[in-house]
Amino acid sequence: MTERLIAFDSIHQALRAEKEFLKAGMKFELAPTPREISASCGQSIVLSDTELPLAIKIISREIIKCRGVYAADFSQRIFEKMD
Amino acid sequence: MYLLNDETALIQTLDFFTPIVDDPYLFGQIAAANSLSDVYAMGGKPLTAMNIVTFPVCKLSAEVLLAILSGGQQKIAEAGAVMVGGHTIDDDEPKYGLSVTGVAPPAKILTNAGARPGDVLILTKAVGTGVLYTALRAELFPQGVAAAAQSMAQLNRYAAEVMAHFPVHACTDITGFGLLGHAYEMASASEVDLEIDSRAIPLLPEAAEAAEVGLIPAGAYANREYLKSVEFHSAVPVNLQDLLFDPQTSGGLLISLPGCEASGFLQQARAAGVLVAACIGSVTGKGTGKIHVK
Amino acid sequence: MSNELKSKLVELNCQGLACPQPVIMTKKALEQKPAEMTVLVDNLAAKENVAKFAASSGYGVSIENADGIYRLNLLAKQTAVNVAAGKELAADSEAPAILLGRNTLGTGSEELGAILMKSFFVSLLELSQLPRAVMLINSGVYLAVTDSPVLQPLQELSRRGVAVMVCGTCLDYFSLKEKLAVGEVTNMYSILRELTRAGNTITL
Repeated sequence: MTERLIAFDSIHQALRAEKEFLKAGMKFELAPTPREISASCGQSIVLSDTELPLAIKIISREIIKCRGVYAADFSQRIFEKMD
Repeated sequence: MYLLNDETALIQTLDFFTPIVDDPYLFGQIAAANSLSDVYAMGGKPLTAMNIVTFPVCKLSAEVLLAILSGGQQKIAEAGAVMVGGHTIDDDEPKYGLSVTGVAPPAKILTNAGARPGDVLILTKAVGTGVLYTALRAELFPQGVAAAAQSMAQLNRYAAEVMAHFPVHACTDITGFGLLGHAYEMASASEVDLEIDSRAIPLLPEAAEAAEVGLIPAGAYANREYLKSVEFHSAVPVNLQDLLFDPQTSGGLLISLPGCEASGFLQQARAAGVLVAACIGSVTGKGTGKIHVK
Repeated sequence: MSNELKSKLVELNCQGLACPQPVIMTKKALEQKPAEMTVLVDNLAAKENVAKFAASSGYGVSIENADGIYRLNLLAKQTAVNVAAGKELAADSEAPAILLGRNTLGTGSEELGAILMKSFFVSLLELSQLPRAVMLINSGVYLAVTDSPVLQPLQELSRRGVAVMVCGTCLDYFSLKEKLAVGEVTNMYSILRELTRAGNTITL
């Protein structure tokens, strides 16, 4: 499971993260939050495990609220929350 | 291992465990084959064996004990060795195995250190006994379970006898640490790095399916956790990865020998009845025990 | 071990059980085909194994860990979108066609519209019954060109037999003819034929 997923409860937080990640030149994708993680309509950012440390740094620095960070395997549809 | 004189070294080994199949005779055969395996992995010949038995006399009948011992005896005889005694004690669960004494010419003793760059790795039994044992307890995949039992009951004798005709550099038998665990031990003792082709590994029938549905023993996860120096190519499916960490019981021999000898070895091994023997990888160079699985 | 049915939510407590018990119990519970269920285990091997079993049985899994207890939420893969829609697609209805007249969904915010279009396609792929065709006109044709944010899902839909029909006039108007990356160039006749067929057309 080498993909990572940052789930946001608020689309505004997701968009803020998207803006900052773009500024930092990161590779990522905005995608709807998998239903396995949340039944409500939220947005997530999907990126590789190598990009995650920078993403976390940016999120803490900009105080962007997120619901959680998950290790993701989209082909098997297994999402595991990371500490 | 003990050097008796210039021509002979003495090999002493011991192993025993609880039943992994329901049939007592088969259990006896498997436990004995497992105990004898170490001697073969060192390039030796078993001479004598002693039974190690624990048995709940109040819960199981004497017939069961007899069946276990008969299974063991069959394997000892098949190995050309002699049963010289043993010891039985009362216990809550049955356990069985052997203490084996074997011999080998000191010059021909094999260890797991000695693999060299350019060597090819050969595995003589299919992998997946741990997963299929879990399947047995879940009452699933009976065909795979039966095949696993047959494979575990096989002696490594025939593969070992073929080895004697080839310039083998290193050998180990595959047991509790799984294929990758024992491969790592060989690689680090030999100070080399390995490449293993996951698609070339012989798998027991239904082992891949059993691993895919999560019938994986806790030991496989422990082995994976312990082996940090293994790197998988991203295309290797998870169930196959799990099988490479799957703890084996009475597994085959992992042999490292010069690349040019590989096809000759495989030919002779198959002629000797070791049909599953296959080339599974190579020694890529001097190193620290890193394993790349593609 | 407890197995309570809480208003259709099944929770299976497998704490304290050794492998393969958690897998066996999950297997039994999934035979009832619940849309959703939760399994609790207390060790890593059980967590991995139940997740693998669920994934191989047509369920997606979300895992959380609190104080050493793993909570696995299993969601049946095909109902992922039906649950939200609140209704089952009729088994005998002909699959609808979808007409997209723009490359965003809804009005009010272009930015939000683009996000919604992306969510739309991701969710479309999870439906148990795919549309028979996706027709793109006007700025909708932007969805089918090389740098479209929904190119991947569109290509997957096409791979699964959905007809992706892209208006040639529109591609020409936006000078996108060379950048078409999925589907077929069609004209208004073909689109009209599709629109007047039996079965629903959904226009977005």
